[in-house]
Amino acid sequence: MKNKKKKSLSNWIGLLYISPWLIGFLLFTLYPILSSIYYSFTDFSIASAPVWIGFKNYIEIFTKDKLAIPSLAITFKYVFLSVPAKLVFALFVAMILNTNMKGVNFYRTVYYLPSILGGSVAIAVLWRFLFRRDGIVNLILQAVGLPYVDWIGSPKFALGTVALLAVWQFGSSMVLFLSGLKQVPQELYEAAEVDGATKMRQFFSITLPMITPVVSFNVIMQLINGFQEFTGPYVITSGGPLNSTYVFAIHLYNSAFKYFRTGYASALSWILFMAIMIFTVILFKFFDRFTYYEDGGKF
Amino acid sequence: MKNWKKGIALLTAVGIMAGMTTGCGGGSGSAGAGAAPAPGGGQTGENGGAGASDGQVVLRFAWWGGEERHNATLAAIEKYQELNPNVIIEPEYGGFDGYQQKLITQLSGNSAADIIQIDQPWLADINKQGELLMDLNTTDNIDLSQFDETFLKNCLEYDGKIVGLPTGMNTNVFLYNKDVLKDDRFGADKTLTWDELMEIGTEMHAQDPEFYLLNVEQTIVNLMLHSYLNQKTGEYIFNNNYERTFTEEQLRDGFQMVVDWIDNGVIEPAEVNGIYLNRWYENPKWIDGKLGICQVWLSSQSTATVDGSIDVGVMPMIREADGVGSGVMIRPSQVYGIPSSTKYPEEATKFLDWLVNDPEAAAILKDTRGVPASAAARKVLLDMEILSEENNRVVESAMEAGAMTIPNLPTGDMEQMWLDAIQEVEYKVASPEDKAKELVADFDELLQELKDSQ
Repeated sequence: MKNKKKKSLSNWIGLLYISPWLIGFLLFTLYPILSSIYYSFTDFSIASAPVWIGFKNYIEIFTKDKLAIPSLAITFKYVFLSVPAKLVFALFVAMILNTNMKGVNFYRTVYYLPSILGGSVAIAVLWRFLFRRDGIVNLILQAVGLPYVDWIGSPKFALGTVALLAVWQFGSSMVLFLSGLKQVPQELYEAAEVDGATKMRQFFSITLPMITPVVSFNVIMQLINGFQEFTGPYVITSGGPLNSTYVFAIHLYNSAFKYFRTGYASALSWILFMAIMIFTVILFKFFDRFTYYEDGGKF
Repeated sequence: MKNWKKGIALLTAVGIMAGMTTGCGGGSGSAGAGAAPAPGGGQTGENGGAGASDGQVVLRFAWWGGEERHNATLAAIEKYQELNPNVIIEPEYGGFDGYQQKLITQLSGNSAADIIQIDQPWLADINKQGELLMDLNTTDNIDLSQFDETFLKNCLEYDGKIVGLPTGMNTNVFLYNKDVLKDDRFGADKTLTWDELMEIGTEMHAQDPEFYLLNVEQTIVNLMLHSYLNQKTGEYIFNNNYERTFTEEQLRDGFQMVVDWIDNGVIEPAEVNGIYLNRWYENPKWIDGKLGICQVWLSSQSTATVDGSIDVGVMPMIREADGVGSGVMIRPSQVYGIPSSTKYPEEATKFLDWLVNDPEAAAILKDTRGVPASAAARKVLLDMEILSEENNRVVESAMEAGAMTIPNLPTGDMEQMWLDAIQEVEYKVASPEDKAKELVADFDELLQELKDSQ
């Protein structure tokens, strides 16, 4: 009896400790999420009271809105361009930095730096500077006899150029890969070496299978982030040219903060949430079959 | 012993919470500063609102701007407080980013400052939400006679109420690079026609393939197209009944002109200028003197000089001798308004009158909010030689020509519709004929929708 009482008291203290986060979560995350469900069924601008209109917002998204579906398609394209490229690149750099070379900690820091910069206005200026018609990238291309490309100005290339910003900010995935690589037991490589396996074979038969938990975590997290990407396309191209980088998040932002259609924007955000959810579930199922867990996946 | 430990645990937990909440408070305060560099950041008065200790009134004044405007406005506030010891004015200032969102939220929550700076295009939407702004006709404190009557009526009257005062006047002009365009076809007293523009641009590009006469991006082409159509029809692209005023043929000719500009090298191809959307002054060709003219608002003049490295002259907008409309737009640089929710309408209106009409205020504020709209203030600046003779001539010529009247009605996503259409024409994914037909149909549909939602 006394023991039970003690336990419940310590539970309360535990809750008290995490209460700053709990309160923040309830007030600034859970409440807005729940209210956005309600608002998505209303006609609501910030300045006027919401009016219940049922499914009208959702119907408009799929039938009348000329930008919603195309922007969702562009978002998919963006995710499929940026996520694989980013992860392959992050793994590649992580493998280089997993060796015992001199000053490796310095390099790790340097390669992480772009991730800290995020999508600021300065980055947008840098990107325009690099990729405009007479920018550095084109100067290099022309120096080796290739024609210039309108990296940002042409609707064909703009999305790829914007995705490149995401690839460049590979730091957090790299750190995760690095920690995954460190977990791979050295004996496996030694045994493989004795059996005469090539480096390539070692990578595909040992490294990759052993780090599948990190790979699946990275893919899922990056996918979720990719679907919500806003700053990159917004600051570099503002969705242009010809709406070729008009990702869903920009459409959402414009609806809410340019046209003050908060109810409609709430509905858009739930569509985006559904899209992310479906993809995450599919990926979870997919990785379930491939991921190797040392504890047999019971944990 | 155990209890003592528990006490410590409790204390730290509470301490963290207290730290969290005050941390949050501080965070939201500085968030008002936005992205632009603002000395002192977005100040939120801790002791604001309550106000009245020993007859003192505390007014809050919110605006956005750059450093120059901030400093001038702060100096003006100081002067006013000196003259009126019973009034304390708390500044709330920052960059433009996020200002609109914050303002709309505050207005709807009745917590906006007592004097607010508003952008004119927001007024239609704000007034649609109800009587959020005070009718300045109802006070005797403000001398409205200093303002051009039609200007006030066109830009600031909603349902018979004057909802704000212009901070300054802005008009569309040609800003040109004086070091590059030296001959006598260019100058404050010169006007070009659309044909002359095409001729000169074609000729100069033929001489120097690196040179383009016009520095434009899609939003500027959009403005120019509105002027072009106004000269054909005498009206804005739609009228007060939400009716389209131009014909499909007129729009097609306008689109064709844009395509010809590109083909003749009058403007850069879309792939090049498109990346400077809303940032035409960042185009390296403008800085290198390889672009001659930009058609923008007069208030952009100092931006156009790119930190003083270019000698920028002012020239009136294109004129057509047989044009029905002038193609000239005159709008307030920004608007000062007083929310209906203010507790001190008397003191707020007095301060506003001083701000826009008083010679002393004008001398302090100078042209940090464009050419003053008040005749009294304009005279002060002319005398002080802050308003250049050249600029004054262009402004007066614009007023003489008579501005096109832009209906004070909500426009929804009209601008985006036009920008998208112009992009498609510039990138040549649609012919001028097809696009004119399509835009006319879409535009009519949008106008009908807007009309129905009134």
